[in-house]
Amino acid sequence: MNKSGQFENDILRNYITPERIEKAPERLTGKIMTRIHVERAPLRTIRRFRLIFSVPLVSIIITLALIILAIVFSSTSDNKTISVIAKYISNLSFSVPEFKLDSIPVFSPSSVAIYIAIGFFILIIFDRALNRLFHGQRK
Amino acid sequence: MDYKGDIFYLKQVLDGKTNAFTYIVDRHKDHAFNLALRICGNYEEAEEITQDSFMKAYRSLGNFKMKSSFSTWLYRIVYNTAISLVRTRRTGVLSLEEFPVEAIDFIGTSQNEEDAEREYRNSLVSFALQKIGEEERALITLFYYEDLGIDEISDITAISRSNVKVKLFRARQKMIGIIEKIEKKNIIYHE
Repeated sequence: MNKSGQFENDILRNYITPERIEKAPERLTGKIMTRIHVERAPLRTIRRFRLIFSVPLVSIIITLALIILAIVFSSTSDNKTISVIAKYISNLSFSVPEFKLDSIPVFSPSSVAIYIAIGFFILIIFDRALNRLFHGQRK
Repeated sequence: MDYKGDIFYLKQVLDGKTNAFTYIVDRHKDHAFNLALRICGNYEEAEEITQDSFMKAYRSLGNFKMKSSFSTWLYRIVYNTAISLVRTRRTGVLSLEEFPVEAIDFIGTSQNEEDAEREYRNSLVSFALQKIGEEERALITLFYYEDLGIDEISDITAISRSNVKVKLFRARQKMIGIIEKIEKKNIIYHE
């Protein structure tokens, strides 16, 4: 073999025509792409299922957990810690600031329209952000 | 091969545009199929190997370093898939007697003498390839058909550079020996 990686007086070169490579069957690309799409489909479905049902599922779990806790540990429970928490929750109304409806100024329709427009604008930005987030995940 | 083109489409596939992989398959399928066929010597198996290799490439595309050549990476997958398949099904070695003597009668069926000669030589090479080991078949294919350099072949087969040279030399000698034997036999047949 010489420096350029070729054999000197290579007789085999007389027999082999490099341009004569065996062509793959025409339908091969289609078969491969079908296999790829089939393989991807269940993954995509599972991901979408998880995405759609994750929020309600978490909410249901939390709600059920709270109901069970409420049943098991009632405010009349003997457990000291629970009774302290129950007492705190029953007195929670004191910590929430009181609203006096009379104190809310009456807006004119034109000023309300500005607030609505700003609200819409914020909602649109929020919606676009969520859309991008979920759309990106579906890919 | 257009290396930048491959990278562009591979990035699209990684971005979720699966259909961009069609371009990659179309571009490399003939070379991948040719390598698989030369190693296993069977059309159905070669098609299966090519399909499996592309699937493996697709699945592990995340591991592919975009700095290297995709074709080299794909060849490596085809080479490993084909070699392991051939090793599991190991059939007996063909005897020289099995070379179809009708092959030398191409002159009668082909359009002209040149075509007939080319066909005859091709069948000789295909036959001789099946007489040598699978690793040697791969080396001959990559060197003569795919026209790759020693470094690239070493990358694909994971055989050291010096070992590639030695093995290639031996494979070549074996091929020439087989071809010469068949040619002698055919001369006797013709006489």
